[in-house]
Amino acid sequence: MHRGFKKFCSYLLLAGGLFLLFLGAREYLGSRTGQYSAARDFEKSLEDNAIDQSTRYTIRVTPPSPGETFAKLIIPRLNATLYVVEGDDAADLRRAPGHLIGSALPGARGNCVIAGHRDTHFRILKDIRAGDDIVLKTPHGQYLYRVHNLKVVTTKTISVLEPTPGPELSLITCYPFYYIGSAPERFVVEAKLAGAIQPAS
Amino acid sequence: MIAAGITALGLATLVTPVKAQSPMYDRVEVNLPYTVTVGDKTLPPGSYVIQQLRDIGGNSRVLLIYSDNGTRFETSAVTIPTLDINTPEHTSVILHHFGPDYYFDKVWIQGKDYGYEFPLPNSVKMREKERMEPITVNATYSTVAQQTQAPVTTPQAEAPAPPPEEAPVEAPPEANREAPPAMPHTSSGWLMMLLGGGSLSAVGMMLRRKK
Repeated sequence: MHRGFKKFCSYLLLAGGLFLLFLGAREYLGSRTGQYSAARDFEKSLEDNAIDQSTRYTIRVTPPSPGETFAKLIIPRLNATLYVVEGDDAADLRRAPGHLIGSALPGARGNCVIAGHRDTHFRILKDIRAGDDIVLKTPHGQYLYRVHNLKVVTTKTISVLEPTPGPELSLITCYPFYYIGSAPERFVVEAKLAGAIQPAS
Repeated sequence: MIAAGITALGLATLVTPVKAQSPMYDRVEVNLPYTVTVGDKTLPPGSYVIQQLRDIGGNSRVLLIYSDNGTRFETSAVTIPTLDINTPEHTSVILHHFGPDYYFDKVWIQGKDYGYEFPLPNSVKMREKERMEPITVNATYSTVAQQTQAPVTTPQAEAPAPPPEEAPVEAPPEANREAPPAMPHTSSGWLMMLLGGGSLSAVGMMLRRKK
């Protein structure tokens, strides 16, 4: 009986451990493969848009659909390139940094909020600093933002998500960057639009 | 706004000059490139002779239209006298253009300060009047606005200048949609999962091996 119980417990622990290993591997590998698939989707949307522009000049007036890869985020100084998807649920953020549904689109007036995992895509934000350039490239234009403020807020400070009068970009991730468990704070990178570079082609 | 746009498009009256040949006294030869409606008669593209009805006074405002080098009578039209203080240098026939339909508008004769104006058929007038009528559509105002994107123009921007008639209506760029109510969860915890899973598996293995 005692031996049987121990055996049962060992199987239970092994099963739980393997399940956790699977989840961890899925998160990590998903963040890697997700960027590849997002890059492929984005490049395709660029090609489609190039065809559109050759026949008719259009301006996108509708937001992207949830899960759609709609932007490429580049931080030149950090040599970082990330593809951004629409939405911020768990599946979206596993693939890529997610644009919060309802926040402004790149280049538009308002607060364009992009969130990402501190332990995968947005780990690079630990090295960002004021004055850094952030380029957001979409099929409809390239927008240059310049970082003007970095701050750490609590998880209850949702004011950082609210619309702004001018075109701004907020990158949000968990803080501290190295922390075991659910991080109690959020690291916010605030940037202002410095100009549109050129239409994407 | 939409109604105004449709009306403006529909009423874009294109005055099309048509090259006329061999102007003569009150007799004009014209090569019509389009199907033209005169009254209830439709004239297919081709060469026509427009000739003033010769009456006793010599100032008739009735024009006769012939095809086949002036041998086949097509139709007649009563015109309105019209004057041009700038005496035209060329004989020309002016057409109205409403959508796909063409109608005679005026005939100007080289060296003469008067011309012939064709009144529009009543059906066309009615149609154009209807197009002029603005259409009001009920709409409901909502504080939750549709998210839009508009390009930001700066001196560096090299946006192609679209033709005015093809440029889409640019929605206001304000992002007025409600902000998300909660902070996004931005930690995947993959390392924790791997460490925890490894630990549990190790303990499970130890239990199995322990006798």
